[in-house]
Amino acid sequence: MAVASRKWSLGIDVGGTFTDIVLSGADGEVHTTKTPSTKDQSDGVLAGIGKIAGQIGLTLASLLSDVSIIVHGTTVATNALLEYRGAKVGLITTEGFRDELEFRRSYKESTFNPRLEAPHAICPRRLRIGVPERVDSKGAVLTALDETAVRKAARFLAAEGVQAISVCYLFSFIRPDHERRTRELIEEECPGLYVSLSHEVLPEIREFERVSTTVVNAYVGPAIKSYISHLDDKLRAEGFAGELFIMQSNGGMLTAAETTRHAVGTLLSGPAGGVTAAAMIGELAGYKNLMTVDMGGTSYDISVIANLTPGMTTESWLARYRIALPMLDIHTIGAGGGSIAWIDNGGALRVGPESAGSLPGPACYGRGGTRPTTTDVNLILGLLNPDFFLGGEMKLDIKAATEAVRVHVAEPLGIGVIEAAQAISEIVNNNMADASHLVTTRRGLDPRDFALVAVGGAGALHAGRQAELLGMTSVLVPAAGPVFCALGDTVANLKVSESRTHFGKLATLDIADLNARFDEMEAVARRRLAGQNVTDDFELRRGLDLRYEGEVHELTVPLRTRTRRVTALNIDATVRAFHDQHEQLFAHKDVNHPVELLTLRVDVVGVRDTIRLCGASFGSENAAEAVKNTRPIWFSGGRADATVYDGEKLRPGHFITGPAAIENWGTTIIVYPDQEALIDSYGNCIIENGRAGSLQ
Amino acid sequence: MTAPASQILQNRLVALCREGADTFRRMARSALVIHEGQHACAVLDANGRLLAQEQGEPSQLAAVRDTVRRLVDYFSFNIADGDMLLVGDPYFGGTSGGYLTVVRPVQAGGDIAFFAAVRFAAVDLAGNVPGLLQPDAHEVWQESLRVTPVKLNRGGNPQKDVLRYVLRNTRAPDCLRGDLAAAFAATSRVADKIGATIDAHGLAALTAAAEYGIAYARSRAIRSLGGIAASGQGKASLVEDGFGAIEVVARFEQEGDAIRVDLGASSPTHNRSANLTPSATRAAVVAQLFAGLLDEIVVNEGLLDAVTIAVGEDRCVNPAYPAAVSLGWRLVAPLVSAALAEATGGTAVLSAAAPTMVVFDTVGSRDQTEPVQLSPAYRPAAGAAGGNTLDGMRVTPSAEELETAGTFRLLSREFDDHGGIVAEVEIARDGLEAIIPPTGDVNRPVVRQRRRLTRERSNVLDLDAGALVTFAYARRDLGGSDAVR
Repeated sequence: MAVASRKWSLGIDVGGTFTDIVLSGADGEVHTTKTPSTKDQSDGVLAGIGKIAGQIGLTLASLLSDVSIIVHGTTVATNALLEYRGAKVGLITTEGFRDELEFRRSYKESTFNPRLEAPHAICPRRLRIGVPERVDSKGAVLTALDETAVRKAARFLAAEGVQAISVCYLFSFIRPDHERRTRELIEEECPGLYVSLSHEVLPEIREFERVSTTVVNAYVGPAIKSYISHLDDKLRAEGFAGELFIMQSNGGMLTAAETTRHAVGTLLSGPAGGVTAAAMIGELAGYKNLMTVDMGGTSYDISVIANLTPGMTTESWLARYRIALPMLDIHTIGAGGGSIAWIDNGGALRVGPESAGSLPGPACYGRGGTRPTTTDVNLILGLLNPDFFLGGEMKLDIKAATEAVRVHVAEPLGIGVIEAAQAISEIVNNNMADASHLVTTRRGLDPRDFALVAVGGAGALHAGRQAELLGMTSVLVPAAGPVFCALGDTVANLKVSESRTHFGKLATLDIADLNARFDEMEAVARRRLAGQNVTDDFELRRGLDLRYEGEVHELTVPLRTRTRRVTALNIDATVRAFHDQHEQLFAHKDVNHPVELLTLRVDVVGVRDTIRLCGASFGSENAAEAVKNTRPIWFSGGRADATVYDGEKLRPGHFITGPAAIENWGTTIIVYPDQEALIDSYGNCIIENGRAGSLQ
Repeated sequence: MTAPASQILQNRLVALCREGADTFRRMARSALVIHEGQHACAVLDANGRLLAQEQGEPSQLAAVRDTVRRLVDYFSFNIADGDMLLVGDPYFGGTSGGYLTVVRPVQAGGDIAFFAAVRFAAVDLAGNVPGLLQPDAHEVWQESLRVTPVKLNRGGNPQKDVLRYVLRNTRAPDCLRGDLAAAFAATSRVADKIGATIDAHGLAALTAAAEYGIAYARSRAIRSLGGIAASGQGKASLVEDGFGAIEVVARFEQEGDAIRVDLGASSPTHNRSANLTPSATRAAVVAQLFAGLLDEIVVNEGLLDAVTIAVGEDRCVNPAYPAAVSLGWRLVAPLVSAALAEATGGTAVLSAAAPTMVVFDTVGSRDQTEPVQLSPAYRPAAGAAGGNTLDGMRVTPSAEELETAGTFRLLSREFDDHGGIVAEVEIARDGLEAIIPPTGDVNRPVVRQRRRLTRERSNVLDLDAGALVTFAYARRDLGGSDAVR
């Protein structure tokens, strides 16, 4: 049951180039726009809201006064970490363990390189201070907290000019007293500093994972806090009286106030909206298993949604720092429209990971780029129309593209330009397919059971070929592709993910104790969801991290109950599910082997009334009215004349047989030979692959 | 087949190895696999030529190839669809006792066309003391059970007597059973997917892709040495307490496509376990010469055979049977690396091993014991990420996980004043024994306890609860040169 009463919801996603805005009304009315992103992201946000207000004949102020909630996907935290422009951070930790952050458990990204450069130090050694205190694995205090040492450390760090202090003590996830007291002492000594406590950020075992996540939280926290406060002030000044929410890396949204305390939870704030939107669009189209691929200028992001549930991970690294929070599992490879093709010194053709970016960009952009990119190849092969890039706002130079491929690839390999372009295209496509394959098989899933959701400027150019290579039946290109993440923002639910490490053998688990722990976690989660008026409809989802005794890797298994209490039968059912999940993932289970518990997980989801997209009735199948012309396209099997459609003129029910190209403002959809496309009620393009079922 | 098409199929083989290694590592029980990275997954052709491999640490670089090649000879035509082969013998293409290789054939058109293989370190496989490091061994039999080639599955039927025999020869049968199940699953997954790839593209295309990959790797390997001197000589030696002096002499020559390394003037076979098998010697040479390349290209036959290695007879780099070999990688491989570095004017890639202590329940006190190879930190280098290349993808243990398991309490782990790391560990319970293997030119762990530290049964130390062990990890010196070869 939704509580909000105003008319409009706004979804806002700030990307590197554009700020995307989706305005949705309670009656299913949806408007979208894009505006250039700005250095101060809030300027672009306000400009975008103003632009969309103009589209419906309102002023910025009049629209904002009628908006009940704004859900914002922001890259402020991500950029701060990726560009190492976060706060100056100090660390107070258990004496004897001040270097864990730098040790990184000796992890390195290269097996063989003995001089692989260390990551940029976001908390250098002189700002990491050990203080006497020690709690053991049972929660007993071995060494009392030395408060004098904490005060001294806080004063030192403040004098050094730190903007944030992170605190991480051993076993604080069992007994957090020392960390709590440390915060009090810091606030007494240097009030106003941003303080990040490890037992609040990630109350789980493994000190490196916890300290890294906690320090990153402190590193990006002040930037997020400042940005949200700044944006909120600006919105309020323009008449906004609703609630501001921020998209979280777990696919949910949280209040602005709560976000500032758990800033590390926004590191995937931007792409999270895309995954949420994919689940919604996929469900509307009748698919439960979806693989979302987002191909932009420099990267190709893959995420998997199985049974309408996005895949999650706690094994993320970002900017070479470990983030152990539950986050959407988005796998990225360096393959985008700007990826550069090159010949290595063994004579092999490579594509990426180096990218031409947007400046100089691909050779065909005519901005000084001379090296061949994926976009140049798509132009040469006919997948792109030189006169209709960004709806014709930008002309592409096919001669420059051809010259780049000729000089850098065709001549060194002794082949023609078309052959070289096809080779580059196939290498890019196969790199993406191999990565997609790994993402699914790593979870024990078969890509052939999934529909491909293609977004991003270049996603729909390659999606049909991806479906062929992966043996997939269907491709879904959303009508909202250009503002996809912002659409996801508008439909996201509130969500808090809580976890607690709790060791135990399942055979001897104390159910009453387990229930008490779950109750405490739920209470914490509900407190974090307080202070909002969007919903009072909450779902509780519990899970257990389980593993066979002796194994190191645990699996998160949903714990389902009919009542609020967990019973022994519920645990038995969860163990059976664990065995099955283990077999699905690893082709092996041993029902006689003891299972142990590592971590309790609770998600509390505040369910919102989602926007009701208005589906249109199907009209004629005949799409002749949308035909622009035909042009030759070079596919992997050879050249074929493709019918070119104006995407703006396509209507629900229109049916298209490949080969074809559907040209829209921000993207071109390629329907490959032996594929058929249908425009569905919501304007999405659904492509059926005639070569489905076998991996190529 | 065009070159890019071959390249794409070759990449598919690489992806399969990566998937197999990933599957195995996630399923495995042994800390040696999970934390120390002591495993590899490979695809080979019918003749045992390595087509692609993913490995967690460098000692495995050549071992799968050398083992499977011997297996093909051994079984000759007696390999059928559904067989699962097992071998673990340092003198059958291996590196050290306790490393097992599981191999499954892949048929195409009625003939064996490929092999999928997983190789890993068992946590224990008999031997003088628990674990795989056997400092007191003189002969291979004192180090581990020698698993000569056997069939664990014959035509798809499990040979339970063989499995029972192997599991009866480990002090940690549950752990090894789990690891073998993981190896089965991973090997089968890779084999099935090779079969699917053949179905999709045909045997001829996959074979052509494999040949392309081999030629490409060889070409890259040879080109990568283009900037260094045509010939050179280097020496490296160490004197280890109880082990005496060991010296490795390396002569390096290159002429056109021919690259030759001669280690034949190195010390003779060591009378204890400081010996490198030929396979391990090749791994050390390849790691040293091609470290800068190994992140870019796949390990296959073309890379392994880009260099001809002469090891002489009865040398510490090619020991006379039945010499013990379990400490060869820790003691001799860094010498091979250093000697070659001097010969080629580069920097040694493999530094001396980290201080380590192998801890186990007092022998005879329990039905099963899983020895723990304890080394709480790593040898750092200024400005560099992670540890010694010798240790591959090894990760250090979490202090909280160690303490929760109930055997150790990590009291501290920090940089020292010289850029090294010092860690102190408290032994948390009675009933434990330990051995401390030698470390080359690095300090051994120092044990302090109230009761006199006794050495039971040669070098086995009897530990008390409350004993303190200090591990000092000297900083790795990478020299001033950027030339890592």
